[in-house]
Amino acid sequence: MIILLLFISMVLGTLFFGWPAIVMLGFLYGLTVKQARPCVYSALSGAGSWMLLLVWRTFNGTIPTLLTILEQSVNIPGWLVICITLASSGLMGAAGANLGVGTQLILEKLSTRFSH
Amino acid sequence: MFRFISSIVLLSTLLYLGSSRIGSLPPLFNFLDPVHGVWISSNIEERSSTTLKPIEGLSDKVQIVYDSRQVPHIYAQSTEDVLIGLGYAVARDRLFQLELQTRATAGTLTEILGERVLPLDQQARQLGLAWAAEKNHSALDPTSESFRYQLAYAQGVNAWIRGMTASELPLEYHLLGQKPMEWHPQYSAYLLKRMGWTLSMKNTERKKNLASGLVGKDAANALFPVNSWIQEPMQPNGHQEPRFDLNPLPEPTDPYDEPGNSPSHLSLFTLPEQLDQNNFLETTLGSNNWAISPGRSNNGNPILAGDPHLNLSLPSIWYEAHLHVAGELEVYGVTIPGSPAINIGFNRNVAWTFTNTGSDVMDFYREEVDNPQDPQAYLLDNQWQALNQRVETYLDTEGSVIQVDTILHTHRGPVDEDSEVYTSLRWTVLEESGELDALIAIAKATSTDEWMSGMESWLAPTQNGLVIDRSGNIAIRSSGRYPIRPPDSNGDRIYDGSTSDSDWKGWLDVAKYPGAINPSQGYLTSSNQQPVDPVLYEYYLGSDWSPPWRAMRINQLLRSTPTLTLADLIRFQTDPGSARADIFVAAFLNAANTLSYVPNSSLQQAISLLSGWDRLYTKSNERAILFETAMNKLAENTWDELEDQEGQPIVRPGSTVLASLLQTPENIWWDERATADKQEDRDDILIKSLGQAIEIVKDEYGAESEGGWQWGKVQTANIYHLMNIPGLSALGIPVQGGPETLNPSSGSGRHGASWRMVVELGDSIIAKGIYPGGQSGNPLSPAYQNQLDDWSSGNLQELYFPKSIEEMLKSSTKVVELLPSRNP
Repeated sequence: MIILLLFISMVLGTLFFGWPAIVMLGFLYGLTVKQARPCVYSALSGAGSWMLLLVWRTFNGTIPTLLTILEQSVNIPGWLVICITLASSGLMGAAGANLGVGTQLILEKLSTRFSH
Repeated sequence: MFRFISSIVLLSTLLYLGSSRIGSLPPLFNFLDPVHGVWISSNIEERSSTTLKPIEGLSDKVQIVYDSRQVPHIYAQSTEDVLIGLGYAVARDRLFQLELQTRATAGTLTEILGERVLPLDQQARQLGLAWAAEKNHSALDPTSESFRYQLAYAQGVNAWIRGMTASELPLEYHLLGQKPMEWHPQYSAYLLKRMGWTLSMKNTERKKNLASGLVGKDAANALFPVNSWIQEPMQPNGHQEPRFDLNPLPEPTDPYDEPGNSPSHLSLFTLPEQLDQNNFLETTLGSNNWAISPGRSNNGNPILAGDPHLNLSLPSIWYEAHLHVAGELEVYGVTIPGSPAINIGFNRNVAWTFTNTGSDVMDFYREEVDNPQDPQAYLLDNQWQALNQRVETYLDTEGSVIQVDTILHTHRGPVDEDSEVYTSLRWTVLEESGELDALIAIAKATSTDEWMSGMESWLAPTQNGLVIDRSGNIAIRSSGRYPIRPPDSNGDRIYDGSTSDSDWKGWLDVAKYPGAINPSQGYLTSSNQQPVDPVLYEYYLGSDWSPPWRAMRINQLLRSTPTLTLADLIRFQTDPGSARADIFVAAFLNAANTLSYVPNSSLQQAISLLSGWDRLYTKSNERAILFETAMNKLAENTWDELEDQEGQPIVRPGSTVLASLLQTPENIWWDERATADKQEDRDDILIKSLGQAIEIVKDEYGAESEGGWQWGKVQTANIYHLMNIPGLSALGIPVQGGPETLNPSSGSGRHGASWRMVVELGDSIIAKGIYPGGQSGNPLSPAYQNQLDDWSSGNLQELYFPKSIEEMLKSSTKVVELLPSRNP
């Protein structure tokens, strides 16, 4: 459930605030959850949310034409541009969650020290 | 703790890399963001809302009604308002083009494209185009029409920029990671200066200098003559056919290098393509226009046709628009994005078009300075005059300073330095400007007389303006400022800058401009040729004119058809015939007829193919490539005296000079320097060139029977995007026409008819036009290149010129309403 919530948040976050939302939401997720492999889930949510947005664009625009133009403009295959896009959001989500987990551990240590 | 620190380091690194420019790439995360990045460009749906936020400067409502060709028809209550609408419409469709061409003129391309384009910026700033535009603009009276119209146009552009949604940001800005700059009114003046740069930067002095350094002064003067050796002028001279003023070329003599006048001293003041040593194939820039009087047309109406030829680009240099201000202005035509006026077009009473005159309006002066290592003053009439200094600072994409140049100026203009030799430039383009006043005035003209009066304020670049009116008048005039030089001197040399005797003495009076009104022949034409027969005219206007081949062809067509239709004039615009081919094919075949030996099979084939050629450059023609290759070899074999020691051409005279040389078969210029034991004559060189040509063509395109020789395959139009991105360009487009035909196609294929228009002014107006591209600058829009097929086929599209807004609204595809702000 929390993963679905993260995924939806990342879609909405990107819509309203752009790419920094992926980092912020990944961080909040890493900070608050106590699940195994939070970075992986955050990365998948990030990549998945951007994939959904790209699919939405495909139905509302001319992505194939744009990909052809990009291929010839930046000299890399269109599919690779999509892969880099998804990998970017995955990396941002994972790095944000990683910092969240690290912060969580620090906070736990601090709270343990203060409780003693 | 380690995990915490390492996660901070990891995230910081990622954010740094994703937010920074790497080379010319934009920041990656911004670029790839599926909502705000480049992907948003895929959304080309237009806003459904048609009434927009109030716009600063508007005094009343403006309606922009788009027709099915995406042409805006702009209805307003004042000229200022209609120009706000024009600025808005142009920015909507061509925002990136507006910025790129402005930056190219201002020399600020490095700020969006990076340091790699610094040399281009340095050239623009050295020439001082933006400096001159700023000077002109600051001298304007704020109540003048020019000032108010440039301001209104800027308000329209900025209104679009401010109201633009994220999805409307042009794709190029995403690719560069940039945002649009604000548009300032003086940028329109930049554009006019840029037009001058493109059309009047004719550095014949450099060509002559190069030739003089190889074959002596007399020969150089003959190779780049003041007067064309074939006379078919724009201003009718009473002849019913071209006149051949053929003269033998003087023999090459010892090289003559005037001290301090090395060609390299003139390099800066030369267009980059003119410096390209590999660019010696017969490459033609040219424009045509012609008009017929009512007595020559089938409907009894005057008809005008025009096709200015320029560097082709996507989006096109032109943008179609219809401006309507009740009782004040109604004009349809093409504007250059950035220009608050229609440049070529028609109203209810007159229609007009231009070709470039190509006159000599720039001169060079060798300046004596006080200290060649660090000059502070220059000598003038035995007095040291302070050199003005203009400091130019260049920034990169991050706003950091990458270069600072100090440009020196004399009272004549900017100074260039090469090996401590200082050369200054005087050029009409850098001086006063009245072009916008002229464009506004001619748009409001109701007769050819009024139109000509309006053009009196046109100063640079000089243009052959052709106009017809509803009363049946036709007229032409080469308008613009022509400098009057010191007595007994032409502007085709470098002057001594140390004396004011070398300075221009004034301007030619308008009454003395070449031109004609309602000539008895019933038609007028111009094709960049020498505008007036020197036998009938005493003033120096320029030299090294475009060859008159196109003029000869159109005059031949118009003379041979007593009654013409609008369709005839459209057909002539892509006529595949060539006066140049008529002369040179005959020369090749005559040489073949005089052969004293039996030619080899290859040469026999070449002769046979050439004799069977109809001399038409149609797309399917399979002989034109052989002829053109032979022409290139002929120039190469003939002008070997003008090559360096490695055999690379240094300078090449035009094909008119070569045609003249044909008349003297024993002239020493035909002899090849490489064969000391033999003296070749004309026919030897013609036959040798033809023999070489067929071998080259076979090597490059295979045997003739294999279909690879088709003109439409070997010579194509190549229309590049403004940033030369292949994916946004239209390449390899077959066209009908070849070098020096009315639809010139040659060399790189990057030049051609930038706008074709034909207008018949009768009880109703019939107007047709086309340009290669489309109204939209958005590569993803269907209107990006939707006119290209018709352009390639030589078809013109109907230009919709409705009589009222009600009529317009019936066939509109979209209406945008601009509203005035509450507190204007």
